[in-house]
Amino acid sequence: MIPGFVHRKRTDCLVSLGGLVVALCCSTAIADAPVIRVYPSRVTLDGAADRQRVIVQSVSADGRTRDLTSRARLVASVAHRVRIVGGVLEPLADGALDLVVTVDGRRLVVPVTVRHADMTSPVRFGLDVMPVLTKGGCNSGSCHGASRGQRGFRLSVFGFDPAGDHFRITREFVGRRIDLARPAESLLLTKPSEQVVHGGGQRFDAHSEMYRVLLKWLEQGAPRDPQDVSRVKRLEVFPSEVVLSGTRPGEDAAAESSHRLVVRAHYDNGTDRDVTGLTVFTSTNTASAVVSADGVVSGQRRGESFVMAMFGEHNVGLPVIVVPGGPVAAFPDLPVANRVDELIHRKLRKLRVVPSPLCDDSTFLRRVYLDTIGLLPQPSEYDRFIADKRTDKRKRLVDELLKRPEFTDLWVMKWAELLQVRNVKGGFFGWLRKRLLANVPMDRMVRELLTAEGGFFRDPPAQYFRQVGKPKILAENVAQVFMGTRIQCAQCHNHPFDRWTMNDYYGFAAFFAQLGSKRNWEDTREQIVFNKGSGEVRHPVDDRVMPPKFLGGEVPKLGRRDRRAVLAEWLTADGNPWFSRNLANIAWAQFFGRGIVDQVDDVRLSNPPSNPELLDFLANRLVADGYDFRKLIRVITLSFAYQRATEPTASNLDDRRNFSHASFRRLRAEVLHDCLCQATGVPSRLGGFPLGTRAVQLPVAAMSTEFLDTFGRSDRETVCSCEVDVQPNLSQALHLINGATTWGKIERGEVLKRLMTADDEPATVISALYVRCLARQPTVRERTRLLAAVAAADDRNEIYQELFWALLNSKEFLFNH
Amino acid sequence: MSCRGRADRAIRPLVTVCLVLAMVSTGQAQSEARSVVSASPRYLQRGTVATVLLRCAWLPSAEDILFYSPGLVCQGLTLLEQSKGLPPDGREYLATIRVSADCRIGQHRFRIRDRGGLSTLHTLYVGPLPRLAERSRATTFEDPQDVALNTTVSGYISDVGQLDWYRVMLKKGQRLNVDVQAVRMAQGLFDAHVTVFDARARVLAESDDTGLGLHDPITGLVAGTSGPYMIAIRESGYGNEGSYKGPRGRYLLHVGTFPRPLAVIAAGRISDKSVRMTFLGDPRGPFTQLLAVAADRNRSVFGTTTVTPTLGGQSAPTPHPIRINDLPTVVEAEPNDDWRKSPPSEQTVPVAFAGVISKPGDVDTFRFRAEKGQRLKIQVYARRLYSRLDSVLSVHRVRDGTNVAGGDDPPRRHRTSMFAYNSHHAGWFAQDAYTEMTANEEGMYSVEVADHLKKGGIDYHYRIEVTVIEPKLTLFVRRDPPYWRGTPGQSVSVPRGNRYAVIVENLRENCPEGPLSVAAVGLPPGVSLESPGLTSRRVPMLFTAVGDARRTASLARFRSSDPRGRPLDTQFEQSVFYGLNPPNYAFFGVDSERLAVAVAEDYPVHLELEPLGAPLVQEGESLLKIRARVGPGLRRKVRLSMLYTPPGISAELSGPLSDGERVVEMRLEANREARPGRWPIAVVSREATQLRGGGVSTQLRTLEVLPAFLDLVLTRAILRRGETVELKAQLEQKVDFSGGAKAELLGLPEGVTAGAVEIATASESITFRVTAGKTAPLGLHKTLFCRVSIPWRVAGGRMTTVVQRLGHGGQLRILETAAGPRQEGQGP
Repeated sequence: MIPGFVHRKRTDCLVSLGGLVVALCCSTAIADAPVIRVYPSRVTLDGAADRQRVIVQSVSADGRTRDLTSRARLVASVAHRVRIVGGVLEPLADGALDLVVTVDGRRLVVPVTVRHADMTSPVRFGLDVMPVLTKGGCNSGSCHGASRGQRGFRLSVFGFDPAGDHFRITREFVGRRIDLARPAESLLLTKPSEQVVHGGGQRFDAHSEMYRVLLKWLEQGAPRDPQDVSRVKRLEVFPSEVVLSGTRPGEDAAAESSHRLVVRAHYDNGTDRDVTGLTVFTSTNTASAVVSADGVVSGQRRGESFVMAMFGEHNVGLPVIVVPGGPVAAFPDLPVANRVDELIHRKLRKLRVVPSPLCDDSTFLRRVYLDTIGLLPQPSEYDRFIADKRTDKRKRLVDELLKRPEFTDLWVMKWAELLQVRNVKGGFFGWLRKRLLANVPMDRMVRELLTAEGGFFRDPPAQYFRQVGKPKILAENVAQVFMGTRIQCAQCHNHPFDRWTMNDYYGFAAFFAQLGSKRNWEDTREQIVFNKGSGEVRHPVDDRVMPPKFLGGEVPKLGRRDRRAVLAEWLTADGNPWFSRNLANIAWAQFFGRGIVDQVDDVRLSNPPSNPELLDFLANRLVADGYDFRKLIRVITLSFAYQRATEPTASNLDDRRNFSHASFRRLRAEVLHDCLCQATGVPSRLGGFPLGTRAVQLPVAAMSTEFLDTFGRSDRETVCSCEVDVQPNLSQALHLINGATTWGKIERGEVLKRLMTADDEPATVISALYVRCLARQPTVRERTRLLAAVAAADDRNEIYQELFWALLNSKEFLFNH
Repeated sequence: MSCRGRADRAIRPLVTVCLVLAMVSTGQAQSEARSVVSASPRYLQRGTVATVLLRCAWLPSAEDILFYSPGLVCQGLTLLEQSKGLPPDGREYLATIRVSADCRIGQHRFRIRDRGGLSTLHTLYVGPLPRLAERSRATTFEDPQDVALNTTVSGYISDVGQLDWYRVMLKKGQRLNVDVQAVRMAQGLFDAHVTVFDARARVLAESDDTGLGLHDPITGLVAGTSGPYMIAIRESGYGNEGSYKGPRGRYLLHVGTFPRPLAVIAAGRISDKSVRMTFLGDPRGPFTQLLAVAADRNRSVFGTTTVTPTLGGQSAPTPHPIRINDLPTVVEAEPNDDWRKSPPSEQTVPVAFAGVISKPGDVDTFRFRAEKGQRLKIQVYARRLYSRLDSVLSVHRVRDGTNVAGGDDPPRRHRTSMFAYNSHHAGWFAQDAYTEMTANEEGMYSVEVADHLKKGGIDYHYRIEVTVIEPKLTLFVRRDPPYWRGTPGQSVSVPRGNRYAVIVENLRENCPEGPLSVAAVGLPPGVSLESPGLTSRRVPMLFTAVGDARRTASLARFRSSDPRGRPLDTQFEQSVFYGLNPPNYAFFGVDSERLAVAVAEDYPVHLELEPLGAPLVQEGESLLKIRARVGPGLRRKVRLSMLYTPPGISAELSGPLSDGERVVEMRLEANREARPGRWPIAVVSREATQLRGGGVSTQLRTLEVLPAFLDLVLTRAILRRGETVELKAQLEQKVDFSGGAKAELLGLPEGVTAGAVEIATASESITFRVTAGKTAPLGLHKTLFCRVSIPWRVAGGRMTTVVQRLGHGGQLRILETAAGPRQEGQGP
């Protein structure tokens, strides 16, 4: 319980928790034989320079992985065809053989093929040299990748312009950076290896693979790449999963708490190559796992991390779980409400995290009301729900709430934020509301939106294209809103933490290049947008026309079709995981305060979903249900995961990502405002809208209400989910304590008057106020102390008013929990 | 730049406009225009006699009302006692107006004729339904105002966020039509929104913008059950975008079982006895009526008129604009989607086609026969007829399928010329497709029309006119800025025995070169028009009233002919705008094809412009002499100014004139870019503001502007105090003049003198002897220039003097006197 909450005793919860503890104590550790795996499962060595590191991993029954490579014995079945040095295979002669791996008495065989063992292939600038510059950090934004470079030497940041970089290395200041007569004397080598003074320090030494690559390229004469050079198609990282034991601060990583990684690049000519030595490794959570420059990941504290491997313009990631060391208690056998729980429990089981028990009825009632319709339960609704003894009453309640118009209002508001609906004129807000009220499937709605044509006023969804003429902004917005990914970085350079390149960016922007507009001279406020059928987007580096290309997909055949229609079809196709996952994630975040990918619009390789299987399940479910949002939300809210208490268990105290307990979430500005109006029975006059208009129903972005501003209402200027600020701060507290909103509404309202007229019994009044504000009864301690205070007061009304004020100012009121 | 910033900037001028309009409406106007501020009620029922309260400014002695169309007669005009809240020059009149039973449904324009002249233009709306005033505070669902079916309610949204609620009782199966007039009230931008609910507050129908209603909502339903139905009216943005308080929040709610089609297609021509009109979009389905259209009745600047359907004895409350003329009209017959198979026709040019793009993706095609060499214009009337169609045209030669012409929005030259004068028309015009073609062989051609966005519907009707390109002259009386103040300056009030001049602008389309002559028809008795030949875009016209002319007013038309005397297609256009959107585009306008001219009472200022002496040359100057007689009784000082100045010429405003008779001189100066030619000019009095539209004029005189006679460049000179130096000027003589020209060096600093110099014929330079006095100011002086006076023989043999000011920027540096011998102890 967070400090300052109105004190509350939770007997129901304790009972549930007790049962769980018993279950935990009864369970015992399980110790089955581990599974042994060798990575990669098949090796092809192509060319004399090709190398492949092999790693051996064991996976114990409790899910932990251990790197057994150093203990394993590697033997080639045909010894003259390969040489094995420190776990690395080197080609000697063409032919097939088996690599026999023996460890802990187990024997595994990896087929190996050697081709062109006597052929030395040249070092390529784009494929070999550029990764060295990236791995060395040479082209990072803080070094030569800065817009003005360093000391006169500039590289394209993260290597988005290989041709430009080749020019600057070989042609700019001829004779300075490279010396082809004496390659080893080139500044390109002597600087990073710090044989001469280098402001950036030593990036690699003269014995490293990186040095060798550069030297060899210089010895070749620093050639430009031929047109038909093969290109990296994809990266893969081994092993496929890593579950490490944590270490304590100061300790060295034990064998079971570190693991070597291998990165293999696949080329479009069908070959592959071990590029571990040229790969940049990063960890998204160094508190749990750190990764060395040569790809050894070490477990730290219990938790999760995601290790990113970047080679050239390609990225690949690997989730790493760190569990406590020592013997493992068995995971309790938890009941599940639906598939959501199964998938969450599966993840929690890996993490050795036991979820919190279910919350009580009153907590669930308040939580689901706030999350689903943005209002508090009315006292009569509270009474009815609490009195209901049916076992499926929570399900019935959810069904009831999903049918209420306030449910639509809440989602209209969210979509209005994402689509930047900034004013009421033109009916864009009304169009959204009608669509959602009619439960139009989201895919259809998005197709209508993305292919909208016409005037802003007469064809409201056309307002989405008010940025007409700016295909880049439209592409960024569509990617962020409908795919949940931010591609803005790739406008200027290849995305450093994601897969997006400038080609992806401008190829995607090309879908909006043919959007035309004209002013409606009958009403000059209005623009008319239409598909003009011509117009292109050009790549800023080489000015080439970019054909429209789906983000992360192929270049479609367009014919004479509206490019936006082609994009909309691809985006909303059942097989497109981006769209459905994104929608599922947005829905999930509404009920848990954070997405499975968090932030919901920041899907990237380095920010993977905390539970990919869960996200896939929800996405598939959404597709299977015909993009019916209500059905998806029903699944989410009926899961036990949603119904868990906020109180943590000993093991899930630190868990913020895996939904093992409910989280405290400050109510967003509009909902808090509406709840305040609802509790006091005094609606606010919001702008020029009719009295009784709730804040969630406001179509306009600009509202000069101090309350809403203070509590972080989105002004819909960008599509970023970060526009809605739900962080508590001091001015919010001061506004509630000193501002006119709370006290003014209490004074103007007739709640107390009605309560005292109906039944002046203090216990009844106190209880009614608790139910009205917090959707629960006062605890015994609260009741006792309040009754004493009322008995001692000269003016009951005054003490009731103060109680009312205190309840509305309590954190319990401000938060959903 | 943030979106918010943009929105703010877009809204700010609108808000300013609104505030000023509100000031006008509350009688706080600073303008001294004779104006009608408000009329109440604005709505009159046909066949009734109504009493209308007219709030006016600067109309102390109103005598009559000049209506622009028949059906309304002013039977009495009574001045009310000065009531509270009116400004000193405000007046209230009670007008008794008889509305004939056959009066046209729609807006009726009028001006009040005061003894001093005509007021601004205002409108009254005539409809078929009885009027009901809005009950105050019927602003909640629970407490609506009960309204009988077939009633017109005049309502008023006074507060932001306000909803007006009405309740009507319907029987099951009964039709309810709701037609709200707000923007179409000719009052400003009040963007109304209407919603129809059932008794359980479920939305049954709603409407915001429409085709026929423009920004006004039109909706309807068939009652599913018997019982009450609720109608809510609000501003579509809840008043959050701009203020609409004041008269702009007023609306008319027409509610009932009347017919309410959304489009009309006219199949005949004016010379037919009656025209077959097909009305589309009425809930009861399309219906056809034979309606008579008078040949010259209430035509707007687009040549459109209005028709109102009647069904079961009930008329629609608002009319449909139609374009009808004497062209044979072919109405579409589906299927006609493919121009290769379009229905055969032997129609020759000129011809009109009419139809409707009835569904999304629909395309309509028509055929016509053209002669070889014919230059044709093909234009669509759709938005101008309140259709939703954003038309696109394509013309094919049927023989071989060659695409010979095509067009979307009209070319910029059309739009820009229209924008200068008639912004709201320009708006509607801007999306009606227009193209021109020359038939390079005799034969069949096919014209194809579709919607730009491939949309369609019952109210996507159109009329295409294929006509031979003929010369056309369009005349405008320029609006005096600022535009939001309405119509001052757009009517003519000539004092008896005096003159009144206006600037008429014109747009020549395919007219032959040379001056076009213009005459007025229908002026009040005793008033005559003097119009110089139209040679430029802005030309003054002078109205003169004889001394015994009767005070009256009329609506005048114009006729024109080309230099060879052949009559031209002549159109006069005048618009009054409502709900202006920055930068100066209107949401609605009322227009007229006739100019209101009145004879006013005597005016105590008389002006005569003496014959002009010398021509004005580029970089030259000239003097006008005006004989002014100012009588007593004027509240303001009289000042004189040019009615307009030809390009490159400036004139100063005269000083204030006191009572009595005197000669006033006004200096004209021409710059280097002044356009040579013969310009008709006049001097007018400006004792009241421009906006009042008052004042009188001199007669028209012709100012001759000639190219510069000389070019002169002054050299620089340096001299010490007490010295005399020579300052040379290089000359280029551009015309031959017969010697005797004299040059003076002007702009010299004090204490510096230079004598005048004679310029010999063909001389290429002159030399001034410049002497600096002992006290001449030291330093560099850049103010020198020359005035050259050249004797010149004008046509007729009279000698006169042409003056040019030249050599601006000449420099003279004055130094201290030469130093004496150095004294010991002095520094270097």
